[in-house]
Amino acid sequence: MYLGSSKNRVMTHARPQTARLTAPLPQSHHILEDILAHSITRRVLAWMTRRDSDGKCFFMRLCENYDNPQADFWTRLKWSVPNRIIDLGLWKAKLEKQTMKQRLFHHPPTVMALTLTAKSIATYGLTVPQRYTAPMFPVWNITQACNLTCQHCYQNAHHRPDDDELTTEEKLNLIDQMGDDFVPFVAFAGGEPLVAPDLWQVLERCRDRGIHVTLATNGTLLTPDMCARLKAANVKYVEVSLDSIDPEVHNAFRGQPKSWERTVQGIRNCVASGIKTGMATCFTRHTAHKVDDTVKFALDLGCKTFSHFNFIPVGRGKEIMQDDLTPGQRELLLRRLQEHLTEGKITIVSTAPQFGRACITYGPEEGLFATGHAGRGPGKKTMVLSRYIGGCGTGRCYCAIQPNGIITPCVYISGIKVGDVRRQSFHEIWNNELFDTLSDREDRGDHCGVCTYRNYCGGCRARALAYTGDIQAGDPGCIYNLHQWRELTAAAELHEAGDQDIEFAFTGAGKAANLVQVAAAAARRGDLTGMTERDKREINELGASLKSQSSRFN
Amino acid sequence: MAEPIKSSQGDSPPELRRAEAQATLSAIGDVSIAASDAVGQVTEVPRGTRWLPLLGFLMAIYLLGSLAAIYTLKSAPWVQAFVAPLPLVLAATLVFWRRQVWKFRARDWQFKEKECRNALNSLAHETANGLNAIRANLAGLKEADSSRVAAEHMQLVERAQQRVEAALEKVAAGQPRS
Repeated sequence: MYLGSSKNRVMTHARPQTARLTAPLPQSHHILEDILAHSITRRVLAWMTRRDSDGKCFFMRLCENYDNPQADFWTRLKWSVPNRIIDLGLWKAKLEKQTMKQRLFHHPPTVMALTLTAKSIATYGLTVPQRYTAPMFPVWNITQACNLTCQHCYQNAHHRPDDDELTTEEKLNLIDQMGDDFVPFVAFAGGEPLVAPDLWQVLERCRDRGIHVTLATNGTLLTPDMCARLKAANVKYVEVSLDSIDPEVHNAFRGQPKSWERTVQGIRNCVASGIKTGMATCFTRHTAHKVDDTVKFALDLGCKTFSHFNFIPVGRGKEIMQDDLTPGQRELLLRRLQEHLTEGKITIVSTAPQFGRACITYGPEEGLFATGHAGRGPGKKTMVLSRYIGGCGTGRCYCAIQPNGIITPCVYISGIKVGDVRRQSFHEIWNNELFDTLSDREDRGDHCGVCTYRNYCGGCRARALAYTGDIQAGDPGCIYNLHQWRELTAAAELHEAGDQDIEFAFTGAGKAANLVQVAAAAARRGDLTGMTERDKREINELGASLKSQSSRFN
Repeated sequence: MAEPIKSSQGDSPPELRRAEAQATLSAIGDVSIAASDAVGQVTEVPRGTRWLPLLGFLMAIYLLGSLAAIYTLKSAPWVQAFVAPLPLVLAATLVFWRRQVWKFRARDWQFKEKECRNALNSLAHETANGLNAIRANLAGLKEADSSRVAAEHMQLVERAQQRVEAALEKVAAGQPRS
């Protein structure tokens, strides 16, 4: 329903691009790329990933029946020839059979991920970056309710759930749709997902559908009992946010005393329960210099992963925009994280797409590279892989599901609504024009459009939108877009000096345009049911702000 | 020409790299993308021409030739059946030997060419990334708001410079093999 209007939100004029500041890189190539790009391969993949009446495809059955001692005699006989062919392939590639069985053939999420990738290649061809037929990992803000009131909350979460949140039935139906589309991973966030009363039913359905589930939480509710329950519900990974190793800073950020102690205890409980635990930190210019201590703290707590959350001035985060890192500070921060990644004591991931670029720029050629949201791997082959899956995944292999069923390109882009699961199927929503546009990294503004690292990074679309109002503009957080950052800072200084209309050019224009378009579309249909309570509230606030500003000029 | 040029920075030990031989979707848990393993390539130095296959070929072809001679020269004395195929067998063995030599040379050339290309790619990788790091940190240096930040940027510029130098030195010395 919002499909038509989403096109308008993507500016069609030629974006200003700067001269390229980065030297060209040698292109790593792999023979598999040639094979996968071939039209015959695409046809074979299309056949292998065609879903039958059981909801499975040939590829899934092939993996399921590979060296499966539990299968009956006739099934084993039926699959013996394909099994021997796989054995031969593994032997030729010098890969260990047991490891591959454990990590690939008998690991349902990996099988689903490969099925989805194969289906995407069959549908779109081998594209750089790879466009997917369904999100690889949607992040589902399952509720708007949260027990904390964090300063930088992108979701503007509050203590009570919204009235228009999805019902349990609708949530379960959405899980089924995702399962049918071979979505391999779902990350639950919020608000605080642990306060959602129907979370357990949803987790159970995910387990039934073979979807790999992870959870992002503030950790304050992670009691030993809760952790045991999460483990029983097949939650594979829990990511706990801790903004600072200094309790006072964290508590001030989170808006509650003692939340630091509760969060740290939550991490300890989670580690003790045996669930893979990660610590996530959003650095600001006041905390960035403590990156080494923060990573060490995560390591000491027993975390397996340290996640850096890029600061994005949306939601309540807009109020502390002045705390955002400068491009130089972000560069140094990413460099430090890259060193920790190379050290190998803890897995480092970052939601800043520049992290992939930093790993290539600063890391040794055969060292560990990060592939954006999708983890890390060694050397050149990861570089080849990250050309397809690395960098910003917004609308390409990732999207956000809001508590009321609205689909947005990213959790940090709640203003652009591409569909509503109450009115359309998940598959229908995913295949929209805006997401096609977001998958094209050629048409980007500023240095992002010409950067030699654009296939590994692409710039953060949420930051571009939040700062400029154009989702395809350059990411002002990147060191190669320093001129853009300076222009924005100068505009902000003017704004400080009293030039109120700059505000719209600076932050509000994109939001205002989106809200006006949503309202106009709803009014044209004579149907305001597509508008959420939040939309209506924001439109009112915007109207009041416009009124007060116009009175200044009069 | 041989092995790709290694970075001047500390590389992770081979056993660690082996343990990390998967791209984990860490943001969403410990899930391996085995495709990362599957895209690995095995490159082996081609083996030179050896006598054993040649001898094997000679024996096999001589045996076959003799059998053919016994069959065709039924009335002739048996010595002839063993002598008659000899010139042909020797000629075939000679051809086989030359083929093996040329095959080895072609493979060896192909391998060296690939190594050269890898070394050049490594050089390009090191220098391009070194230059990009210098450019990024010079920009950072200009906007640095404290001496600590400036020093950190400066340190990165120096490291990148050393990295480019090391790569170029290896080429200049004609010893890309580290």
